[in-house]
Amino acid sequence: MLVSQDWDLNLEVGSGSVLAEASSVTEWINAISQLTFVIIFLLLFLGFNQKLQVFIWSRNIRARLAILESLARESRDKIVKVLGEKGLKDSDRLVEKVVEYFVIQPVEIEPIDIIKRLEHVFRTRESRLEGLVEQALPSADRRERSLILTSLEILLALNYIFKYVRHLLLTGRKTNNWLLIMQLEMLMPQIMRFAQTYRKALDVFMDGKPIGDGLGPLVAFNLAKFKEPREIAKDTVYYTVEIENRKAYVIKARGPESNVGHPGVAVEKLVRMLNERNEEIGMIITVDAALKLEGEETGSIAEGAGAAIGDPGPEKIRIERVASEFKIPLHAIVVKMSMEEAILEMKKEIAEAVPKVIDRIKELAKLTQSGKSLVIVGIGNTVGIS
Amino acid sequence: MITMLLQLATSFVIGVDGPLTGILTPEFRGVLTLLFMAATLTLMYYLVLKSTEQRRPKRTATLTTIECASCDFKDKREFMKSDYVGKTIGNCPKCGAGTLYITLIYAEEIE
Repeated sequence: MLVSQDWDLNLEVGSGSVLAEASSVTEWINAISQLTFVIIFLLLFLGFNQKLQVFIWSRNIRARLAILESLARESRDKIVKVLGEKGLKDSDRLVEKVVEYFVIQPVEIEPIDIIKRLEHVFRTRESRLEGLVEQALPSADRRERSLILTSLEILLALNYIFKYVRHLLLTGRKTNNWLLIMQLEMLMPQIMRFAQTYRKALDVFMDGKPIGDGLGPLVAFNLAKFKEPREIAKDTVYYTVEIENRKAYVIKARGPESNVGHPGVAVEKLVRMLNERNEEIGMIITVDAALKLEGEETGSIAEGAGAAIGDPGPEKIRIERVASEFKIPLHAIVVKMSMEEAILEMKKEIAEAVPKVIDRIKELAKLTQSGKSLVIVGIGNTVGIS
Repeated sequence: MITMLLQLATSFVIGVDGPLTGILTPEFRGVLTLLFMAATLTLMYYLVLKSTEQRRPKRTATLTTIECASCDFKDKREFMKSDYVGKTIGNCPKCGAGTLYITLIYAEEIE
């Protein structure tokens, strides 16, 4: 009897100690959770959350900066290799000169002859870079030199993107400017998209494939087909054809080199030349690629008024001035595509838009009185299109 | 935010003495804590997974379209580095007299 009583007493004592242990564990967990919340609250109050956020953003930007650096380095190595294969011994020197080339914008506070000054600066740049490549590769043909030059310009862009992002990151960290870091972090996906597209574009240009922006020259080629080209401006030619029983002059950059020519100079020269011959011009039509809005279909066509040309000003203003001087209606036909589609190889949807654009041109041509001529300009980079 | 709320709920379940104390036995509290922690971890994993999701890049092939200047002969082949639109590449195999030339070079998505 004494033993069973002792046994019961032991059992009661045992279960009580287990319960006591369980409640002390929960008390500890409770205490730790409350202490954690107090610490977190204090840190939030002192701005630690901001420092933590900036640290996370900086780390993300640094990771993507490493990718940007590798894109620039890969492109550089590829170009140096190609230059070496073409017989250039000191290719690093040429690449260094082109990659660090800069252009200083003309003074804007005095706008009177800004277009003339801008054009002059761009011409200086153009002839210097072309001269460098010609000097380095004297035996290469025009097409090869143009592809190398375009590849070097792509490398210039990639190098600049990398350096500028690095500059913003280091400036933000040095000055503890969390706003700058935040903005950079928000823009990084877009910047990465551009950089990766440019890297892919390097391969496209090195192969000499037509790009989306070549839509204008492709339309011009299809209108002119086997006609003999005549040079009217630097790297720009025109063809004389017939469209809907009307005489038409089709202008495009000279291909299959990678260049955009000088369509503005060409249109101005041609219109003045025809005017001297007393040949009346019924309309000027510019055909170009246009950036689509998200949600729009690639290859969709739109018509508008004005000069469809994406240059900084000198070429566009020449077309506008000559059209308004001689009171020639200025029509534009564009084919929509994204930025990537414009600088990467031409997609099937864009190629399929060419016959539709030609139909639109014929529709517009019928609006001109017979006896009047048309001027059609295929705007764009003519790489891979003769 | 949701993670913090879950942690708050966890501490509430295991810490507070109140009207639910009788129902919320230590064992039950322990189970609830584990459930909330599992839900928190699952949510964090899902958020990390979503932010690192990457689309598979589409594969494309560059094709060259060849046409005869005289007859209706048309052909397609893989792009070669020396190709460009307008290049003449020989005589037409169909009519013999016509010149074959490249009319189009474009990229097409392949499966």
